[in-house]
Amino acid sequence: MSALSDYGRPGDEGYENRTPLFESNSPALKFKVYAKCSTTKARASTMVLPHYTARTPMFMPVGTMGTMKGITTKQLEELDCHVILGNTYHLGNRPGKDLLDKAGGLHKFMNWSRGMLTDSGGFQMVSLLKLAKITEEGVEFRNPHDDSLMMLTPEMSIELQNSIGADIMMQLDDVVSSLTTGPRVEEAMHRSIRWLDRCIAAHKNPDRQNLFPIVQGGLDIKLRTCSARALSERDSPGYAIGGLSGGEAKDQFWRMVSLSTDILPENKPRYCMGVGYAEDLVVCSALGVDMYDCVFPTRTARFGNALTMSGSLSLKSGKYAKDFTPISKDCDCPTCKTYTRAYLTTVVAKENVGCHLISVHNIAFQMQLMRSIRRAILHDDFPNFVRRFMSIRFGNTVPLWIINALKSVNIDLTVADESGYLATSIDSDFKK
Amino acid sequence: MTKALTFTVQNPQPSNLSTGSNGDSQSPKQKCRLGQLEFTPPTTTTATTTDTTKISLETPNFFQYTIQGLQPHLVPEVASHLESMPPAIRVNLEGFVKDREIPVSTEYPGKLHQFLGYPENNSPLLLLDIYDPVILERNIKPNSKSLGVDTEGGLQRITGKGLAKIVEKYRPDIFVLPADYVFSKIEELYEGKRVKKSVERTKNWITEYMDTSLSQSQKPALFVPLTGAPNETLREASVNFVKELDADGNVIDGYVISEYGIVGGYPLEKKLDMAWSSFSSLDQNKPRYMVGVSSPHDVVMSVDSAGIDLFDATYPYAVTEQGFASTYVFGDISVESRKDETLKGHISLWETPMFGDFGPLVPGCTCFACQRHTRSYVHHLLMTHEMLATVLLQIHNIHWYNNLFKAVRSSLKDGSFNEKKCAFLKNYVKQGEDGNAKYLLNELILLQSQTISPTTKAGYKKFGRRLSEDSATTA
Repeated sequence: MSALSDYGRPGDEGYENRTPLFESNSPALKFKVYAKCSTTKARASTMVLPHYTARTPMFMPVGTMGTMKGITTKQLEELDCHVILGNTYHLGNRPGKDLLDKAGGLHKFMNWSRGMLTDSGGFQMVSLLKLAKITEEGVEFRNPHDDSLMMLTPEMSIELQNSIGADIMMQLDDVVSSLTTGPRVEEAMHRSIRWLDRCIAAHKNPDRQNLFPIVQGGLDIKLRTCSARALSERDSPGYAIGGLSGGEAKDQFWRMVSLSTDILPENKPRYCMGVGYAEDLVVCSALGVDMYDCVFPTRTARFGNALTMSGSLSLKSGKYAKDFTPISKDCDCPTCKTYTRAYLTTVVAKENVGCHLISVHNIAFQMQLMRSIRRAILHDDFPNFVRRFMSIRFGNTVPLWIINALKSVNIDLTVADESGYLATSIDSDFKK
Repeated sequence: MTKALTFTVQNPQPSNLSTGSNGDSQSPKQKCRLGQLEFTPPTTTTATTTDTTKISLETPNFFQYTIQGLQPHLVPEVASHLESMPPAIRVNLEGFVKDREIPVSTEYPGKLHQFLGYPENNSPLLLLDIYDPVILERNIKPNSKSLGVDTEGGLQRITGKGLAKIVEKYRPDIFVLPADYVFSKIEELYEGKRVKKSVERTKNWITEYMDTSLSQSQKPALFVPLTGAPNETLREASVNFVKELDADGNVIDGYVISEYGIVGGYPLEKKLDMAWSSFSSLDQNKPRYMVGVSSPHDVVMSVDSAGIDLFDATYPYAVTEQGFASTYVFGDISVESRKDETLKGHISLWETPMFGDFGPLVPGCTCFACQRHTRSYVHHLLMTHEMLATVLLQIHNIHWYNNLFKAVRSSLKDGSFNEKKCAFLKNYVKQGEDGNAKYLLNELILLQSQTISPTTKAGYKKFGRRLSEDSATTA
């Protein structure tokens, strides 16, 4: 494969006529690993869920309220989305558990026939509600609608997630900011394990819904190791890596991810929560992560920013008013096939439909990137792909954390490859 | 040379019921009419002759109202679910104007159609007009030399010469010539001075446009706005200017009657009378396009009383923005399963009973939204301020609006128009408590009395305020 865009094209990614290297069989999830990168920890797999067979590594767009920011479920299918996210806390407020029960779950309510994942609702409690107080019983918070005191327990989270009916549910965990240090981190880690056991006990539909535990432990190697080991003993259908992407240094972030994937069972899917920047997806896949979610691609679209391999374009500024090329000439999304940057500039700031056009592209961009990662792994060409990706995205100066992370899985960007590409490190995160 | 745009009037079947409801006993002639608008796109250098497909539009019909070439809220892959929409769009020039007279987008090497994303060999009939008809309040200070456009960066002036340059670059299929529209209150309209100026300026701008475009090789079909209301002499002056302009009958291809031009601020009946009096001394074989009046009630009345052929189709957008779904029916309503809702003309998806209603927006509707989603879901989307709400409602409302025109045309063909019109007016015009007529289908043309969709961006500016409170009704 010569150009980077070749990796991301639609069609078979290399799964055909292969038998899995190894697999796991949970009642509602079959995970089959088809290829392992011979250099890094990356793997390409399929995940058979009750509603859909997803291919991993995959990115899951976030549709908080049972809808994806003006995009129809038909479009999401056409964009090759395998699994989408719903937020339990928001869905519990609106439309609420009773209506979801009546509708027969969120799949039917929103008319989405593929995979779905819901969070526990705990994260929103902590991020949205300043008055949340965490006790052993659960998360106590003030209802923003009527100011009454309410409690979200592991049992209630699971009951609500059972009503929503997602293919994958998340345990309620005791979330602390990744910047927190001291005994609170240890307390949260242990409590999260106790809450996991309560979630498992409360789960009514293990035959058609999967419950994922969440690795906690902040940025502490000992605590994370302890958490990952304890969770692995539970033989869950898959595992999430949580408590990260909260503003910690990237060089600590990747070490925690890598430590977790080293311990978690190899034949189970691993989900790194809240990750969505292109370089993070590439690096974390090299570290052995299979699933990601992030609001970033659709949120940034609403501000008029279109994603490309080499960074994002601010189409709201007049900069592209005379640029009669598509956002990306290699992109096969409906927006890029139809519209120029100049056209998008005339519509993006004015109308909802402008946001929709960019959202479509940004989701397509994420899906193409994930296809390229899978295809590269299946063709055992992943290290080569990673180098090409980094050269286009960063040129010859790559953030130090990426150099370090990739070095840990045997890709050394500071040594020239056949094409002559090599990079020096800069001690900052990618900001464009 | 044969013209690219042709219009053929086909007289409707005579009906056994009496004609027009406006009491025009002088003219027993039926005004409503069926027509065929045909457009043969110019052959392009790249396309072979077989690629040139004729665009055909049966009238009465509408130009799809668009925002930068797109149905409001609908990206092309979503709009593609709409069936048998008229292959004709209306594009508003002011959407492209920023800080210079000639928009930057004119530097695009292809036609406006292609800039808007339509393929070269499969573009709709594209009509370019200057102002967006949903914006009813403006501060544009025209002068004798130039018209004004409100932009984010302030006022931008455009001269007749500038317009000719823009049109030469954009190459629309139809261009609506400029007019000095009076965006002001009805009292000012009655002062002859402002209207007199408007007729003069319109004449000047058009003359400058025509002079500049003389040397241009590819010219669009031209629609000309009629101005001069409320003054009979001025209206006549406007008509005479058009006659002069079109002396050989080959310069002008259609007439435009506009809410903020000739007919602004008046009750509908009066508007239509004025429009008709202008039309009657002009070429009967040219299409008539009505801008700024598009509610189903007003469409039926305009077809009936002024023989309007084409409309601007902003009504469905207004219904969508307020979180409503259209339910009105022109024709037999006995087959509708929710007759109570059919007789309301529209239903609000905001209302609490929608919360647990798992039925489609309208039972039996074949649109994408009704086929795939429920009232309960759309209600949820509105309550949570989600943009998919207006996407689904716009699909339904424009589909429904298209059905109205299909029904009107077929009733003109089989001679049942008058009968259906009477039933329609009986269903949708009610006696209000104050004794005045209540026009159910004109309830949603303003945003002020309704909850505005949380996803509406320019909110109050659009559909903001009519020239006068009752101008939308025939009261």
